[in-house]
Amino acid sequence: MSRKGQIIGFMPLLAIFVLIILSFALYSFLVKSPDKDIGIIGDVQGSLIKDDTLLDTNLFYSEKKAELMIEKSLADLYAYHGFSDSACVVWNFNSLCEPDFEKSFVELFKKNSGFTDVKIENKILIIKFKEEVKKEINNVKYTYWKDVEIKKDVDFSKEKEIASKVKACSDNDFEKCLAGTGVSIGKDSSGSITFSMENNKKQLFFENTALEFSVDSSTTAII
Amino acid sequence: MNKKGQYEAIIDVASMILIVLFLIGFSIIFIVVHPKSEVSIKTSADENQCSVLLLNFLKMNVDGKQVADLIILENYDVLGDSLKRLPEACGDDYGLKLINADGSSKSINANPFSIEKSEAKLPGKNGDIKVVLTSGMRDIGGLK
Repeated sequence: MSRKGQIIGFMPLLAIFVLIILSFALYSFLVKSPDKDIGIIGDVQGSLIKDDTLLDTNLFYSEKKAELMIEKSLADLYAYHGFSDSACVVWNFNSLCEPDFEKSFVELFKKNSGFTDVKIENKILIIKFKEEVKKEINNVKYTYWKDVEIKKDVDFSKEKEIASKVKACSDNDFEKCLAGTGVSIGKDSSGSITFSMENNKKQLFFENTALEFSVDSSTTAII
Repeated sequence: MNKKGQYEAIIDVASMILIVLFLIGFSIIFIVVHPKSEVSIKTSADENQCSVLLLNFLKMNVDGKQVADLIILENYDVLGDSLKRLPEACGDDYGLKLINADGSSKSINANPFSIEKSEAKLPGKNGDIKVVLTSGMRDIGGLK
């Protein structure tokens, strides 16, 4: 081939070509993805194990929170004279102010703890919720979850027994009706009859408080 | 050789020298600046180990009470001794930092030179408590 009319010779062209190739290689390896050549072994598996521990830690937190809030809700229930809020003060049977300990306790527990799926069955408080972690690592997407059910003993049989005895009590003879139940009966400054029952629940985090209540005696002994 | 031939020869030699220089230069960059030829093996084992240790510690019973309950009840006296029962998997000389919801904190056997190994959350009477497991370096600064 004649070299006539050739602007640049072979060697300068080769030099430019080599420069372009090396620049591209430099860009690819150093600038564009400097970490892509690091081999990561067991990253997804390690992450799953880490999330498993995280869920266990969260579950332990939830259990402790449930225990703490059971006690707080009991203390609140007793402070509200057996109701879930301050709307009712006096036990007034066959009305909205008739005490329902389990229902009021569940309402207070939901409010205090933030758990939503809560119920009492056979003296056991059952709390259900889902712990979940969603992640994406090295183009692997995963959702890891545990369906959790926490069960704790809550026994309102003593309170229920007292309420039923008070409700069925005739002639307002509460001393006789509540004999042997451990309920103290007294009178307040206005002359109304007051009742006080010692807290029989095991409490660790909150101090024991007595259940104090008064009764609208016109609503008792009505069948 | 005419003048044009001489000129072309100079250009060719200069180009060859340039190519050699490019190759040497880029080789140095790849060998010296970019030494990531080895495979780096990454695992989360160490981090997990400390999290498991902290969780087991919180579940541990001391004098008939769970450590987590002792923290919630702010009964700190026995906590310091119970830290000695932790295996030395995340270091030695364990300590705890307890940070309350209001920002106030309590350190048990921890010093400013300790390394934070793992953390967990516990409910408290006045909000959540952050529990941080710390470890090691008590010899620094003559604090021991």
